[in-house]
Amino acid sequence: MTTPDTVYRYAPGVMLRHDKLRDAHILNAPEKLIVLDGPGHAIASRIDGAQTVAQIIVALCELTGLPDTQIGPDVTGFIDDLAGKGLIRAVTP
Amino acid sequence: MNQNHADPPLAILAELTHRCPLRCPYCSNPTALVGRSGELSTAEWADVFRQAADMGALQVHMSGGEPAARKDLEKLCQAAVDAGLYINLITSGLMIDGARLDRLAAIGVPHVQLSVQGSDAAMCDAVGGYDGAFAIKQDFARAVVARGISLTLNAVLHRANCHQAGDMITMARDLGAARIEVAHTQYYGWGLLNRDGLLPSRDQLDDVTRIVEQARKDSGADLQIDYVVPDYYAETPKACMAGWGRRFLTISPEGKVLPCHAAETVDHLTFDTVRDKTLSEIWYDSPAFNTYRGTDWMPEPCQSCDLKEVDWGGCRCQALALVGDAGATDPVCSKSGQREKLLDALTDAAVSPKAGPDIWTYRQF
Ligand code: SF4
Ligand code: SF4
Repeated sequence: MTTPDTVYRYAPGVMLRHDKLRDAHILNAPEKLIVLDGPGHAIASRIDGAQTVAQIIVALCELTGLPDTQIGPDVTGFIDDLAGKGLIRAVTP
Repeated sequence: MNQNHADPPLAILAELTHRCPLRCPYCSNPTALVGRSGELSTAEWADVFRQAADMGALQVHMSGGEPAARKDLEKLCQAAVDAGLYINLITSGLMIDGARLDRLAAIGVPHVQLSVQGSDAAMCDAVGGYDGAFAIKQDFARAVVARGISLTLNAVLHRANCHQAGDMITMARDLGAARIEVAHTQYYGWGLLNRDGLLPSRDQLDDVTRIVEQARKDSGADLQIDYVVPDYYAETPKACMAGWGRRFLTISPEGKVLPCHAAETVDHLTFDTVRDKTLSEIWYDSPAFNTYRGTDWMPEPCQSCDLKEVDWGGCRCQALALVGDAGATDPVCSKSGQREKLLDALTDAAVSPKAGPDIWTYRQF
C-alpha cells in the first residue's frame, strides 16, 4: 500500500527515456511502452529510490502552483497504477 | 490525413534465425524454414536496427527460432543498444551459459522472455523434443534473475499441458520472474499443422481461465500474469498485431519485412527485403503493408461495424488459412458468417483426447 512515506524505485528492466522523434517521455518496460504526458513525466522522473511520495507531491505542487488537495490524489493514483503494473517497487526501509 | 495514414512503428520483431535446439510442435515459424546460409549478416542486422530506431521504433524483440543460435547475438544486442532500442530477448534458454549471460547483461539487455513447455521435466522435455531441457531452463531462469535482468516466463498452453497452468504460475513465482504470459497456442505455422492435436476443449479452457483469475488475486503486483486465450473460442477476433502495419513489423531471418510473423502465408503479396529497399520505403510505401492497412480494405460486416478500429477486422493470416481469402472478415467473428470453418476443429477438440508425441509433427528443417 502506498503511504506518504513510501519510497519507490523502478523494477528491473524499466527505464525512462526521451523520444526525440515524438518529443515525448517514454517508460520502456518488458513488452510494454508507456508514453507519458507532462505531469506523468514530472512524477516518473522523481521516482528514484530516494524521494518519498510526500516529497514528490510537494515538488509537483511547486511545479504547478496547485494545492496538494488537488495534486495529492493525482500523484498517488498515478503511482499506485505503476505499482499495480509491477513497474515500480517499494524500497524496503 | 487519409484513413490509411501510417504512424512510425513502435517495435520490431527481429527473427534472427529459424535455427533452434527445440522442436515444439506449435512453433509459429513457417513450415518452410530458412537455413543458416540465407540469414542476414551481423552488419545487415545492425543496419536494420539503426534504420528502425531512426524511423521511431523504441523496442526490438530479439527472437527466432533461438536467437542465441547466432554466434553473433552479443554483437547484435550491442548494435541494438547503440541504436537506442530497448531489447526483449526471447529465448529457449538452452544456448546461453553463464559467461554469455554475463556479456548480455553488461551490454544492457534489460529483459529476457524464457519459453517453458511444462511444469515438470517429463512434460517440458516431451513437448520441446529435447531431453534435459527442463533442468537447463530452470538454471537459466535463476541466472537471469541473479543478474538483475527482468524475467518473463512464456508458458505456451495446449491440450496436453494446460492442466499444468497453475503449476507453471507457481514456478514463475518461485524462480523470481516478474511476469508470466500464460498463452494458449496460436494456430499458425507448425501450430496450424498440429492444430487437431493441440486445441484444448472448452472445459480445459474454462479451467485455465479460473486458475489464472485466482492466481492474479493471490499474487497481486509481484507477479504480472498476462493471459492469451485461443481465439477460436472467442466471439470477436483478436486485434492481430494491433492492426496490419499500424504499430509493429517483423523481419524474417533472410530480411523479408512482414506485417506479422505469419504474413508470408499471404502469398498473393510480395514482401520486400531489407537487402532491396530501406525499411522506411517498405513500411510506408509497399503494397504488402498498404493492402490491409487501416480500414479501407475491409469488407462488410467490418466496414459498417463499430469495432473496426478496435480489432481491425482480426487476423489476415487466419482469414486466409480458414476461409481462403486474406481479405475476408476473420472467421472467429460471430458476424463473419464463417464460424462453421472453426467448428470441426472445436468439435474434434471436444471429443478427441488425443494429444502428445505420438500424433504431433515436430518442427524440423
Ligand atoms: S516455439 Fe519452440 S521450436 Fe519454435 S522457436 Fe520457440 S523454442 Fe524453438
Ligand atoms: S465485424 Fe469485423 S470489425 Fe466487427 S467485430 Fe467482427 S471482425 Fe471485428
